[in-house]
Amino acid sequence: MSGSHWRQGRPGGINRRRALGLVGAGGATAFLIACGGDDKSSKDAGSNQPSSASGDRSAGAAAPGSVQVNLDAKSKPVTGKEKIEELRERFHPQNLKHLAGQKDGPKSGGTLRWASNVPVSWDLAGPAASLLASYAVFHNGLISFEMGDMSENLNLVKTEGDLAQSWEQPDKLTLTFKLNPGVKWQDVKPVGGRAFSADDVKFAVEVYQKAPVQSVIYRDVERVEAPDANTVVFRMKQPVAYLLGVLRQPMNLIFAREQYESPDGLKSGPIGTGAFIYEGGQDRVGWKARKNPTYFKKDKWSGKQLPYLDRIETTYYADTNASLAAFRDKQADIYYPLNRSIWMDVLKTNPEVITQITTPPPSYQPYMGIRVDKPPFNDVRVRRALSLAVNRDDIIFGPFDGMAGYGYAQDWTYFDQEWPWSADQLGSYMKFDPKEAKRLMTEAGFPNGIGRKLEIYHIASNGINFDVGQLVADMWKKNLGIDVVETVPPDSAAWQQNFYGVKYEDTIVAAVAGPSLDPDAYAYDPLHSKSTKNYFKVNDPELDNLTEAQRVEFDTPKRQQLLKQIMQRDLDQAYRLWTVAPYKINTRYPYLFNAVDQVHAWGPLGWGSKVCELIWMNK
Amino acid sequence: MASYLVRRLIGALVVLFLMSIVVFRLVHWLPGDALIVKLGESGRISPDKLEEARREMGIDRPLAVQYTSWLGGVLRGDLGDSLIWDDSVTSRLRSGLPITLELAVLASVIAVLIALPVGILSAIKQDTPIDYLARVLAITGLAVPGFWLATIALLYLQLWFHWTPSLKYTPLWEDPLLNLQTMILPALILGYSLGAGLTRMMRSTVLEVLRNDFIRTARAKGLRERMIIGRHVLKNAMIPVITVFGLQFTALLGGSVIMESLFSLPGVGGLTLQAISQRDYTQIQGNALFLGAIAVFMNVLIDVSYAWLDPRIRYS
Repeated sequence: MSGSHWRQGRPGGINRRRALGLVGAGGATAFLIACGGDDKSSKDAGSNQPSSASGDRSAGAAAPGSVQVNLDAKSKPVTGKEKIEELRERFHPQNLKHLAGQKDGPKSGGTLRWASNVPVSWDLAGPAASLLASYAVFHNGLISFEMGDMSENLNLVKTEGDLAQSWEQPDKLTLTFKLNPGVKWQDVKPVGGRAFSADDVKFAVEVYQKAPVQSVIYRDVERVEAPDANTVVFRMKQPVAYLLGVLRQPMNLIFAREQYESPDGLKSGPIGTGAFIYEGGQDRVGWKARKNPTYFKKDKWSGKQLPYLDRIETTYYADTNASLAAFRDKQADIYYPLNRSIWMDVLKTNPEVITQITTPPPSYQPYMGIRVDKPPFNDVRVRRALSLAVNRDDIIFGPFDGMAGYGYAQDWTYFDQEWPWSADQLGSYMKFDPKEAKRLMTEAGFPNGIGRKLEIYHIASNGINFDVGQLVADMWKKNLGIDVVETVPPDSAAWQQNFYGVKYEDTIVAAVAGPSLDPDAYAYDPLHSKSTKNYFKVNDPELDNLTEAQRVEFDTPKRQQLLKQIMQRDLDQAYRLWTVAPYKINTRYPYLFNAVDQVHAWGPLGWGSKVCELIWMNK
Repeated sequence: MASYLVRRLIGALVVLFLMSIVVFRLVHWLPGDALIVKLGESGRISPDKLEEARREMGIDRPLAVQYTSWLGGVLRGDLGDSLIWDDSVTSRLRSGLPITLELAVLASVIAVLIALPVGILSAIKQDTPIDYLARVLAITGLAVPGFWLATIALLYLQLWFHWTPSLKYTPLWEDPLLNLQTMILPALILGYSLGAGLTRMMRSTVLEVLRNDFIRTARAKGLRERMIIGRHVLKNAMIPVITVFGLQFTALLGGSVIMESLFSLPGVGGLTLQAISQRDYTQIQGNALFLGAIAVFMNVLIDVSYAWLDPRIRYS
């Protein structure tokens, strides 16, 4: 892959030229995959990384619905004994385009029912802005990423325009967006359905530059200009390569001045240019939305007007048993089994559901933060030993039932790699070698334990991440003789205080890294000594230089090289303890289409997703 | 009676005031604060933005100032705004109360419908198979956790009958049938659990009253058993039962957190738990004050009911 990583998206209908181009691209892709080519694709050796090139996955290879696929347990049972390679092949998102029902659609109408609560605040520029990343159906940003059953590959990221029709970077300090014509705000007071323009983008970004959450995203933006109604120009203070990546994130949604300046401001509710209009909601009950009749987008695959759905109605389920019961009873159309065992249970009672298995998101995986500024963890030998004492295969085949890969929070999709990092990509200290671990500890002066209790501060949420922390504690006890004390926080707020406030004593179990659609957040944020998000007190001049260098490197292959160096240094120094990256499992009823996961986005109404505008039903 | 009530009211105000101080201090001892919760995955933001956000939320002030400011609002009838949600404390309490009240009433009715007849029958038929059966059912109701019963009910209703009650709360006035469909299962489970304790209390108090001389006299006078039970036994046996019932009902008004979670009921119990986990100090304070006031009121009501049940009791 050469040149810019960011491809211009052109939303709109498919014409003959474009179709021929797609077929040609698809054929070329198939040829390259068949011939081997770039080893940055997921053809890595290693038990967790088989080739994903079996079959022809190109978009233009076969008409939708024409190939037999087995995405449910009725057409072909799921025994529970399948290896992950088999499951990823069978339930690969690219098979979704071959569901039999695709021939009948897309169709308009229907109500999507899903599990979601109202957010604590609708203020896009307030402290709770990151929570609104799961409510992107009401607004649009400048750019987004491809989602849908017909997508090229949901395990990778394909940038496409949202409010922007096209964009270019004439020089390193300028980023210009051309907006889609004919966009209107939703017909809700005080905005009242008026025409959208570049001034709206300018206004929203200027607000974001002062907002608590987004100000860090726009810190290198000098100013935003709107030379005409359809053009937005970002002028940068200094060159930064990450901006386009982060602009795809759902924390950059555009709102109207009238609403911002109204008495209740943005808290009054979401009013945007998006596919759905908010109708109201109640905490711990759910919310409702109806289709926006003046939505500007058409389905780029079918050419039809979006959205297809008439309505969205969500219900809040406080308990996972309740949400599963609701799904089984068809009170909800989609369900996320948290692990393989629950997925198998779902398939027993509802074998007709369609499953999609998606590559793990780099942003959500259990790992451990280490206070690398404190003894004995300031000794690299101790950190390496702690890593070598952990058997990651036991974790993968234990609590995750094989549905996980090796973990490391850097976005492998940025390297056009579909599946998680393999063992040989993760340096010398991610393997299980208790003898070497013991030797290193002895060399560091700790032949048996560390001379005191080592605290593991557990995570409060999500049982399986807690299990990982316990397994790691057991492995350290057994393999290194460390006297581990496990502290369990009373709730998430206590954990957040310890993690984000860097108040943990020794080590802490975490599950979120990022989240972000740009590798900068996985490199600079946690590893630069001056970063506010360096929760581990890493202070490494080499990493400081490398993370700063990748920020200003616009050539993708060169930036990839720098990021790989950062990764190698990080892993070599074992600044954090990485464990595993769990695959995402999404189940939906067969009457639902386009309700997909993408590597970074969770489901139709989860973090980062705008796919509700594409969902259609055949009930 | 009036002076008694005034004394109780003054006492209640003192209790509520002391309780609010204790609650305020306790929640501020918990690690983490509302801003940390609101920021969520954003994690740490720049120090100046952090200070600005804390100032806007009012949590940068000394605790004594925060408490005094809150108390001033309470005296003006304003419980303040939630620190986390874009809503007032009162509004959020108001939205949760009808659900909790409905669940409490339904569960209590079921509990009484179980406890009264079963408890009385069990006492009258002491040491017979009916008595043993009633006692086993009562012990089971006390021993089996409600959350287990609820989980099993949800699971097996779906597996055996392919049916799950609607897990989206619908207000009673919008659709009574759908509302009842949602509420009946949690009400039954709660009612059974409460009824079990009440049954045992009923049985034991009825047995105690039955042994009194005046009951032997009533029988000797030739009164029918039904008249004896209904007119003489029940009133005397009810005082401890009413005390227990009152305490149970008060606890129900605080919200049954587990039932609300399992059946997705947006009641006061879940609201309070959510407020604590989100460090929503104003909501916690407001809920505690409100629930404390209810508890005090219910206790007064119970005490007053004694005077109605037993003419020998007079408050002066």
